[in-house]
Amino acid sequence: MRATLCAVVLATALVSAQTTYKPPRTAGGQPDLNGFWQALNTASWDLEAHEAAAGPVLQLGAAYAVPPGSGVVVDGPIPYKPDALAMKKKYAANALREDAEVKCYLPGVPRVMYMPYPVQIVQSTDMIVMMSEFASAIRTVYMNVATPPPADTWMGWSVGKWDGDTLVIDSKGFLGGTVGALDDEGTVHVRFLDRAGNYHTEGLHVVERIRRTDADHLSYQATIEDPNVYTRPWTISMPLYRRVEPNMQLGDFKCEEFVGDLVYGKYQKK
Amino acid sequence: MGSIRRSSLLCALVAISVAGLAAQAKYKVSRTADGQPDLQGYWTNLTYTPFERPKELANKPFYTEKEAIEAFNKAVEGSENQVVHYVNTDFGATPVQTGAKPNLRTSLVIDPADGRIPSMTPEAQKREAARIAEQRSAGPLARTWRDDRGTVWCVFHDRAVPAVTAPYGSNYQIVQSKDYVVMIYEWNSERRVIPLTGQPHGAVPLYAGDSRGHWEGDVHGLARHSAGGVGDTDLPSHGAFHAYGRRHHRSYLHR
Repeated sequence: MRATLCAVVLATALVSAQTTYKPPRTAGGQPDLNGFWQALNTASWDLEAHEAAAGPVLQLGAAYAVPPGSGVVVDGPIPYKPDALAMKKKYAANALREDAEVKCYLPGVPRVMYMPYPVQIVQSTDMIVMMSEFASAIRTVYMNVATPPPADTWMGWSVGKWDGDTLVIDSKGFLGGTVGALDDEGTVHVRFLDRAGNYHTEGLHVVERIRRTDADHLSYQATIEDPNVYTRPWTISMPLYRRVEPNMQLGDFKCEEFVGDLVYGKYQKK
Repeated sequence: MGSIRRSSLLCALVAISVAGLAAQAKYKVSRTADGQPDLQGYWTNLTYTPFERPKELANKPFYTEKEAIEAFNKAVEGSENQVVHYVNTDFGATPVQTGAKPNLRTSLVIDPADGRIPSMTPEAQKREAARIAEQRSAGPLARTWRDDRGTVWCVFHDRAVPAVTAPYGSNYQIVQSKDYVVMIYEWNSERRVIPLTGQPHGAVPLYAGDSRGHWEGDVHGLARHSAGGVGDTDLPSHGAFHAYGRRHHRSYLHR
């Protein structure tokens, strides 16, 4: 009983601290989101709650097995249309072939934010750059502009504004997939949101809300909408943790080097 | 565009360019909210000025205005008459499309005084000779993506550091915070993150090198090719890794 009471008091204090936390400001007067951030959860494996499971490659055994996770969807299950749910199951069964991550294509939004790689935020007044280690992916958030997406791209077109201390980013203009340059090995038909086959099409619209909750944590929330796939918008939520190592910097994870043989190896001259 | 009309336009451009040189000396750069010189925006390094100076111009770092117009005209005509497998006005591949202007300089290399890249070391010459011999025996085209990680495989942008004009899409964007300058290249979606914090170089080599920057007045410490600042990049210090990059750089220059 005493332990329960302590837990409640502690939780209340934490929530109170989060809501009253005033983030430091940049010289431009905006909440300072600069830094290296990373998700520490299993969302990249499966956004929904899932048990541990064997991995997709027998030879890798436990090294690439799926760790369990309680899920990050706050209003789940993900509201698939019936036909889209059937497709999700099909894509999940063919994830090694269908997942753009396997082929080193750019991961898109929101996936880039919770992959198991650090994301560096560099914040200017009119633009905020978010860079992942994975595939050197970059997204530029253009602040307070009304310009529509000039073209569909892998990372989409992101427009931001401040709502108090929360950065609100509206993103659309996403590519829904691609065809292979030489044959179907390079094709992805839809864009995966995780390794479990949850997916979206070019109809994706994402609204993210990002705010500092203390010195070393961001609250990250993304509402996902795609009328081609879901019956309603749905939302994921998770903390992002600051990488506090001294002299932190992004490394190169230029994974094209690792997938050339996988995708086009048969064209290699022997 | 007729040649007379083009010449008139070029005269105007040169006049603007020369006037611009005078204005540069007085120009006071705008500042970011952090008080640093504001380099942000979209830039291109497309140019008709050759990287190395033609040998016949060895002692001539600058054209006269008349010569600059003639050299520019010749280069424009050359780029428009290329035989290529695509429409060469696509992709912004022709510099004049993106506003490249006549430049009085006769080469992008300004040091040494002859505008030429210094001779390679004996060891590098051996590597280069071996590479050329291999290329001659194999034919001009890459046999596999492994033969060219930059231009064919697109693993990285092999002309990002130093910034050498790419075959197309020689455009980049600069974004600054108090502690970083980020350069985002259109070619290969490449990026270069330059800490201004004075932090030590990392332990792991990077394709684009491991850059550190500082401010000297209004000159960014890394902008040596365009602004004459003092460089502080670590490009040559990673041994074979950068030797690899340099090999491709040389192959580009020889095309």
